[in-house]
Amino acid sequence: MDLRLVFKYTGLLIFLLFFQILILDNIQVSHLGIRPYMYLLLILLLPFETPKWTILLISIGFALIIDVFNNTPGLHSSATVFMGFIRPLVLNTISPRDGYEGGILPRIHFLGFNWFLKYSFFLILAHHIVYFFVDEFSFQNIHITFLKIILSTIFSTFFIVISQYFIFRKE
Amino acid sequence: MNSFFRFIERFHFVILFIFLEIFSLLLAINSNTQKKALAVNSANIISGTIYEEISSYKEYLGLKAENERLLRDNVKLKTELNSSYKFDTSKYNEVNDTALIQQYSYMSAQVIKNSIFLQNNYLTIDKGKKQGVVEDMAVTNPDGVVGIIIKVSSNYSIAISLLNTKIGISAKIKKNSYYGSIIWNGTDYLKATLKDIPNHVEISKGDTIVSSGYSAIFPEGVMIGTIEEFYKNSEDNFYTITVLLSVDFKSVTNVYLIKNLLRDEQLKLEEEAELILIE
Repeated sequence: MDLRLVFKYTGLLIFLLFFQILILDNIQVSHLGIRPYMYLLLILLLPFETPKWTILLISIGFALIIDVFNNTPGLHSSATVFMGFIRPLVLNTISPRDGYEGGILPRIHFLGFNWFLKYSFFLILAHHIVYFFVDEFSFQNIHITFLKIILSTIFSTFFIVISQYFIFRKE
Repeated sequence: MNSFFRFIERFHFVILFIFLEIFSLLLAINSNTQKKALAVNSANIISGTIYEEISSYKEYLGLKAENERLLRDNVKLKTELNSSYKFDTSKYNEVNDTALIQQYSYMSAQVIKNSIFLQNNYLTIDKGKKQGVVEDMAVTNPDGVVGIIIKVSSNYSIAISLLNTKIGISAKIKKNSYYGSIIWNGTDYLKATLKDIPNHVEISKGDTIVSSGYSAIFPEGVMIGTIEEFYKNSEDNFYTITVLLSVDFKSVTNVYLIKNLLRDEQLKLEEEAELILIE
């Protein structure tokens, strides 16, 4: 276990937490409350070698903190745990022909724009589907729920892909 | 036993996932179905302090609108002051009036966290048990009804917002006192629905909706909104009325917490009356 990496991801966690609750949660784009959920970047960027169960624990731990701040018990955590669960599946599905090389991280810098776009889009979509259905808690306004899912996914993916050009650029 | 461990080892990832997912879904379901259950909330010292800090900066942005709101409220209160009336001294002698009992006590507070886009929205407020906040206090601002206190920690409290699909607030049409309940449908933070107003009542667009005071939480006559549109239901004999809310929930900052000092007495009496009816 690389201690330096642990510190780096802890820093990222704190940064994403405050960025989400202080800035992004105040963004209001439309009546529907579409806003980017950039805190998911932490789960996306975890190294390939991270044990799968660790990803689940990090997902629920981090999302529960977000839940505490938002007065939304279980909402962010159920969605993020699901996202952590299907991460290995998505990674397998979109892997390059020869698999992933050793020593690289799931980032634009190593695997290119197209790969990262696909990777983040599918995982964010999975997260938002669970998130908005748990929030809505019924199938009554299903067309609005789908609209929220699609618009939010586009918005979150956009923010997350763009962010790759601003943080951790070096190395 | 050995094969059991092998099973765990093989499927630990899926088992852990199912366990964590069920855990968080239970949290969500619990808070979705029970009005006062909020197992995870921001009325704790860490998130409370952080939100207090943020809102002290955000306040500056909304100062102008907030000032106007308070001025309007002041104007209203000043016109109700004794000094605004002229006493006809030839007819009245002022006496110490024992017929007046104080029913509501007011306290000012600040909203430090608010949401409007979820199905179940809550407000976090910067006063708690130590400052005298208790459950079931009404939350209003100069524009009208905001919510009801449901959780109190020592320095913070959580109010359920009117923008929450779990609650209905007893309301009436001001001009003829027919009452029903205000329910939010979860889609638009500017509008709510007034239910249970019978078909034969005459209403028109722009009519004022105020709190009824029946629930023993809100004083009677606190503004809720105005009628935007309405139509008659053919199946039952009630209207469906869309109400334009008077409070701008996007910018709620300074609020009043109102305590009904006679609430316990009223509830006790109502309970006793119900018992008599059952017997």
